[in-house]
Amino acid sequence: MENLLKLFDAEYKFMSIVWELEPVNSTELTRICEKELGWKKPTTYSMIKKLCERGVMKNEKATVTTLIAREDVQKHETEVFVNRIFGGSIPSFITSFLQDKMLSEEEAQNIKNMIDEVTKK
Amino acid sequence: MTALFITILNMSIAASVVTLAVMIVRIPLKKAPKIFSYVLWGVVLFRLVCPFSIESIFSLMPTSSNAIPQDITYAQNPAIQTGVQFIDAPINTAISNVLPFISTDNSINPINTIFEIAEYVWLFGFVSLLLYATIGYIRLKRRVYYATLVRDNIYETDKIKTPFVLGFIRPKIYMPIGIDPSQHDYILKHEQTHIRRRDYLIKPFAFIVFALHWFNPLMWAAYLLMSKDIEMSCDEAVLRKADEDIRGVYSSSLLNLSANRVSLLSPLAFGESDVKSRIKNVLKFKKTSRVIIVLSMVFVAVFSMGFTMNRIPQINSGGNVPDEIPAAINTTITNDVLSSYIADGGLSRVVLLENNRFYVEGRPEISYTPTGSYEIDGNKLYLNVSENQQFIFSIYGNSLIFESGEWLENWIAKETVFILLEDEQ
Repeated sequence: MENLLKLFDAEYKFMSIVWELEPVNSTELTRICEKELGWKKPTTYSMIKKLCERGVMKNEKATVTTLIAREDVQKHETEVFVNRIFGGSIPSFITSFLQDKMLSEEEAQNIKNMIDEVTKK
Repeated sequence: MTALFITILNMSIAASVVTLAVMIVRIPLKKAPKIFSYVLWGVVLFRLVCPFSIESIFSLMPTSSNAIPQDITYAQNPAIQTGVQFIDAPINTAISNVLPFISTDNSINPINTIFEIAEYVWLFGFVSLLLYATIGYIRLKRRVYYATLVRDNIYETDKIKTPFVLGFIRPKIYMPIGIDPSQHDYILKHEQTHIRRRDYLIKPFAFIVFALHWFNPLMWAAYLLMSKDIEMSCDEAVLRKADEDIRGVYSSSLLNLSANRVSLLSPLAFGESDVKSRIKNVLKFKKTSRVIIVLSMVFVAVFSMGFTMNRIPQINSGGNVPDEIPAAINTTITNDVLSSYIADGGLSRVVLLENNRFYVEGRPEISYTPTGSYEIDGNKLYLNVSENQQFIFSIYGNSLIFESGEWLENWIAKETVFILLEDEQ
């Protein structure tokens, strides 16, 4: 699973378009990618093929759907990031993240609730 | 192919002279904008591709443009003629010491064999370099295949570490992802300047030209220095156009993005080409005064003109005037001159001697002087050099008109008129 969730920048941008629109017709997809990513038709098709081979998406009867969720990729990327930069320590990550930032009363409350959720389990 | 190869060698020699001159001149030009040094390399490029040039007394070239005579592979005593005595003398002595003496006419001239081998080695080197460059280009192109559009011709991808320009017809700028936003604009301006100046065409063209001269180490030095001058003048253009002093930000972007790979045919990459000296150049940048710019312009103009034009060949430089005939042909010409005909102001001549002997000088820079016996039939003059080599002239009063003759046609156009030289009769 690890490998599936590691996406290069172009792959993530492409997947984001598909997540947004799926299920989407592949011809329609090439048209959108040309506008959004500056890709020619063959580029989009070879990207579809590449991601299908990796089992990240599916292309059946010219309809493209994804096989992984955006949240899973985001979670994976965040974990990799926290591990790499903060040695896996969530508090030091949050300290750095909150530096020089003012939170509104509401945002602070939201975060508190989130922490409570996690600690209850 | 021998003719092409000798032309290449001659261009290489001329370009080496110009390269040395540019290297010297770059020192006083250090304070001036680097665009001036960049322009000077244009003269080297010209010398590397163009075997011809205008002859002028204002030429600054110290050497002749045909140091290696085209007929060297046929010459009995192969010799070079740069026109500079202290270069010619030792080299020609070395050539005659190394080459075995040829006694009979029908044996293969050893210098011919040497040239034939050298031609293949040269061709192999050239083709290998082109192949290397093409593969490098294709690999880079593949690497940025999935780069995504930012706007206009700007693309971004996380598969590269340093920004660069790629493409020939519609060049695109490729930026790595995650560049500091404060540096983003200047890096982009740098790459856009490359595109505006057509550097993306000039650099590959220069590479092909320098690859033709791969055997000449001076040309590699020239290529590297030129790449450096291209990048530095581009840095300066960005600094000059900026409203505020961005030297600090700009140098830190150079440092962050310095390309750590060393590649011969690098594209126009932002962090390319000797980052340390580029940072130095950026930090000491200040807008140049008008006086320095005008002076540099004049200087560069004089330099470029002087080294683009060829010097006028000196008629006596080859030593082939009748009263000092080289030893090789002295043995055949022991007779007195009956009449001599000249063309091109004395650069070419046909000399008829007693006992139906003759000799012909194609050009003063050619060491080969055909001789033999002549016959006159009606108004035709036949000069027989060998069984399969005959020069034919028509006689019209006091002049000769060149009709045909395979070797001589290399040097003299058909229907060239040779005039009788009165006082030598």
